[in-house]
Amino acid sequence: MLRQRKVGIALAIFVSANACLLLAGFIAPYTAAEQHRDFAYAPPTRVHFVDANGRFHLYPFVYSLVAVDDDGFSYREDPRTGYPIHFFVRRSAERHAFAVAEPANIFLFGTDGFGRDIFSRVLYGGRISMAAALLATLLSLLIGTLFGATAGHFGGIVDTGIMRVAELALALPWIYLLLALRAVLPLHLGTTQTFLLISAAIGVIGWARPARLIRGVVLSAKERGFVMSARGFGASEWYLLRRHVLPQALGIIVTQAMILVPQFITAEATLSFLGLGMNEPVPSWGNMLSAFQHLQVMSSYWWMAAPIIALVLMSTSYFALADVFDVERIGAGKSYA
Amino acid sequence: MKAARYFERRLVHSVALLVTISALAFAVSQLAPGSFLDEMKLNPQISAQTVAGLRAQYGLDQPLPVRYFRWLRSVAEGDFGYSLAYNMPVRNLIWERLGNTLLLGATAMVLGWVVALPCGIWSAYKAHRWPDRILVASSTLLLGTPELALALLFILVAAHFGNVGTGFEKSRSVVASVLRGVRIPAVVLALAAFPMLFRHIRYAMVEAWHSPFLQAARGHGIGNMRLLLRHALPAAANPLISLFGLSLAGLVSASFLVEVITGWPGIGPLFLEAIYSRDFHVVMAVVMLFSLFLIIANLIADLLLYAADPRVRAEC
Amino acid sequence: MPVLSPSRSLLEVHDLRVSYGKGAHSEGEAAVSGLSFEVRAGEIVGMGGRSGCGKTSTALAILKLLPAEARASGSVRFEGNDLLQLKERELRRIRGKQISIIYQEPTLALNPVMRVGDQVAEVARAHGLSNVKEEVSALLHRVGLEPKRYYVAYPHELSGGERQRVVLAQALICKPQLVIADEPTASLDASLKSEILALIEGLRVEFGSAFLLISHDRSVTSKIADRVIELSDEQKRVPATALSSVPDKSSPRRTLRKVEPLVTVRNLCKRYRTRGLFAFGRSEKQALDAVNFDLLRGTLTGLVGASGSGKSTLARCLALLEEADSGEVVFEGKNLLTLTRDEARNMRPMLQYIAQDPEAALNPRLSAAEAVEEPLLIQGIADRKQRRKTIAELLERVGLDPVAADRSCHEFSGGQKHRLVIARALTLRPKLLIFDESLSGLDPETQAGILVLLRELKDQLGITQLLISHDLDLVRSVADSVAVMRDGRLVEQLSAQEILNHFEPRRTDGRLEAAPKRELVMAESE
Repeated sequence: MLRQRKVGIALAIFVSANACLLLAGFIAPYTAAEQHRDFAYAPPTRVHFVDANGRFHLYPFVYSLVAVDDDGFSYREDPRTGYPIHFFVRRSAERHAFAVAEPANIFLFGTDGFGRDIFSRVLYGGRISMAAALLATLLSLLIGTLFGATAGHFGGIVDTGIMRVAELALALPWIYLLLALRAVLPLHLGTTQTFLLISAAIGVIGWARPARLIRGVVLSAKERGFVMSARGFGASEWYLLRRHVLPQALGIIVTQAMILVPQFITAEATLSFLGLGMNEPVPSWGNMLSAFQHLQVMSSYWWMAAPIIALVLMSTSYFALADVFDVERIGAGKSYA
Repeated sequence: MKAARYFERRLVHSVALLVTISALAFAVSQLAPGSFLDEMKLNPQISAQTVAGLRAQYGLDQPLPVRYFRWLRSVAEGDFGYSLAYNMPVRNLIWERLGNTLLLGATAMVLGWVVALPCGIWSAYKAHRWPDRILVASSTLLLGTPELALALLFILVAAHFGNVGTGFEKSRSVVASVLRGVRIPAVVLALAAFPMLFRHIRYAMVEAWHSPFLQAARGHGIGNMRLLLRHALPAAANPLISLFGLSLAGLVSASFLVEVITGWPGIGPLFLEAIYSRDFHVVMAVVMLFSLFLIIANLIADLLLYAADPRVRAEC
Repeated sequence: MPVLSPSRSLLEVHDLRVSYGKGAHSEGEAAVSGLSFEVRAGEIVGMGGRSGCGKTSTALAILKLLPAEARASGSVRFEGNDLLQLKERELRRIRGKQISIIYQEPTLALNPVMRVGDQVAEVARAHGLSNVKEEVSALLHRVGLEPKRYYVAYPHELSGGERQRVVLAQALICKPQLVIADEPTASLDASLKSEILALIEGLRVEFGSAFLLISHDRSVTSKIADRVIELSDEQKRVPATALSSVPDKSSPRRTLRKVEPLVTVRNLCKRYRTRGLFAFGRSEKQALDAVNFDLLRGTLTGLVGASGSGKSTLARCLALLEEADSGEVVFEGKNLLTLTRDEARNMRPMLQYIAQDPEAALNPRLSAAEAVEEPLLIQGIADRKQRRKTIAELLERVGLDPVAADRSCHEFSGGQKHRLVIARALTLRPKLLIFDESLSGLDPETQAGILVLLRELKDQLGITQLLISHDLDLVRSVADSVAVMRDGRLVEQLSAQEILNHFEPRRTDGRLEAAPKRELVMAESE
């Protein structure tokens, strides 16, 4: 019973997190590039139900911000006018989940140095990180399945050769492989190029474990009693593949995908954080966090850590879900990197 | 003796691995479009002749295999070349930083194991009951927290309390200042490593605890504590030693991100800089260093396995 | 058999019920339902019955060592206490010290990373014995393991029989009053069996311990038990039985008329080359050496021989699973060795091979119906309704209830799985069925049932069968003729009657006498 509850919670978080990213255009009140220079480093906008006079309102509302002094980035609320939050508004020809009228702003996670809404950037950035991770996962699984199946099917020297390389790939820590690979590529590229290259680089390092697992499935299919018996009935290779290998292989692919995606999201974030991934002005959780290289940013503008929460949430929901579907390995962690 | 042949084979295998890695890394770094000197060329203040001269000086105008063997030869002599950016021998550069990284790595590893081992054992003993559930849940949470996030969170919290004292502060005793400095990075690293350690240890212990020979021993009236520590733990030694080998392998390489984020003056930031500036000698040297540690760690693990598991001895 | 004066009752089991599965009210499968018996001090009580009828469950239940999902009720009285009601801490004092248990598989019961002597010592230490090392050494010596060598040995360095002795030592080190031995000789060959049994008998006399000897092998229990309890489905205690001999299974044997052969094997040769590393240590083995052999239509032929004599290889060549080097195998006019791939594919349905472990041939995830219909699907035969009908017929034919067709394969018992595999093999109406050691490892009752089935297949469907086994007794009871192989050669082919005369009084230095009646060891020397 408890397990069902765990599945439910994990699934709920998983679905809602991914939905947010998918619907970024709808949920985010601003675009990723929209700057509000007057409100750089603004703290998260407070949502009120009770106004300055102590009156309760049914609808939530915000106050507009006023700069306190010119050289710092301090703001205070102007309690004179309350701006209600509208839902399902139309703003610049697009529907948005919520927004407020000018001149107020709703910066749920505050703004960064250019006055860009962090909440919106987290959503858009997440989309990009997720897309890169999915692409990379696809690549990894494709390469892994191909190599694993080949190794398992042909056996002999082909098998040994592929497995040795896989051992190597597994032994070296991914971040160095990634950095090394990244180092090979030119530092500054166009956005799409960077995106594709990053995804490809990340994808290429993750093929080893799926390959090993798929190889296992193919091998055991070659040797298991019921396969030999089926062969004794004159079964063709194709039939055996379809009936006995594919179901197991699919299971592996799905679980591996659940594990690889969050790892790749992290990989992209780390690369971007180090300045070797997606670059400005494209938002990525990684490059949004690179502001943290500066100490005063950290202490004064703590809300810029929002992408961390997003990262943790996304990662955990994937892992938790993978855990739940892989009950036997709950203690092993063998499925993880 | 058969054991000697076994290790001989492992040694040969390791050297082959090292050489392969070096060749690959070399090839990769050489294929990089844009080297340090290319970047230099862009600088209008430096004449083309100077660049060409530097190129010849560093032997960068030779064909690939030649460069590789020259490099290999000098490495064998212990000479890792010159850092183009720092203009000093790479060996010295790395040597400075290696100590710091080792300190951090070792502290984190000890911390991680000292916490994870008892937790894993106890969790396996109380499998599926509340203490275990809590530990497993926390490890899942930690597992889902990427190192990047963990390190940043720690820094954030530390900054809030005004206590970001990494690096060396000149205070009364060297030891005290070092310990204070290594605190945060070591804890972050240990936390990052904890979930994997914990899970593997727990799994190995659960397997051992549910194995038939343990149930048989229980049937002989042997007490639980003794069963756990004297019967189950040794049986779980095999996977645990492999795990230890893995930990050891990452002694220098695992701390990369944490060093960069917390500003710990280890090999990590050096490596990153070298990548930015295309300082190829440094990059190669660091890659070789990491690989060397990896291989040595595996050899040590093999040795330990041989010593601990009689079945391994039998197979030799 | 020694007659004991009436001694005190040591263990009294009353209305023991054990069930597995969910639910606190034993909704699950009942393994033991209402068993009552007693064991008196110093006696050896045998406990027999089919495999799966609850013997091991009983043993575990006595010491409360059942797995978590099992429930036990009833009472087990020992020394004035009901063991089922005791707490763990109190039970720990009894386990190993007053009542000890020898588990079924000694290989599994020993810790692979602990020295054997230490493992025995651990039991001693747990119960506070002093002079542990000396005691252990002495006991090891007593059970036939020379302490100097064996104290420090690891389990994997020992043979099966030696491991059995270690486990025996573990059970006896604290000189318990009762030893529960669960199939102590199951995995041993005949001569070792008798040694261990003699050892147990000796230890009983020396230590005065009572033994509850569990074995499905009646000959084992008959040898040394004072009394035997038979567990049957009704769990009624059968009063002291004299052992009934194995029921005579003779049926009208087919006399070997001049029937035309289904399969003719001429000059079949096959050589195995084992490749060592780097071409060193290459060894060759002549698996089949000019074998000449006839399989007559509609008969059941036995094929016996020691392990390594080539029986399996011959069978696999016949079944098109392996290729011979030379010779010919003529089946219904066609030489099997010269078939093309497609011809072989078409030929396969007629030659069915059932392997040593038939259970592995069943994908546990499939249902029985799916497993049986797979051959039909592979050969692309028949529509769905037709298939269902065929499956039902087949299941009935092999003695299974067609209603169970949709249950998962892993839910069937061992004997039923054997029948399933046979049903599967029958789907494509084979002419030849080859059983490669597939009946070894089954308990006598299940074996008997399957043998009846084989006879029916022969008599009613006219299927030719080749039964390979090392158990001559087994083969003798059903075969029309028996072929004997040794070192790759077929040395004799005898009719059933000839076998009875030929092998009966064979003696090999007194060993055969000691061996329990079931297995006749194929003597190496004449």
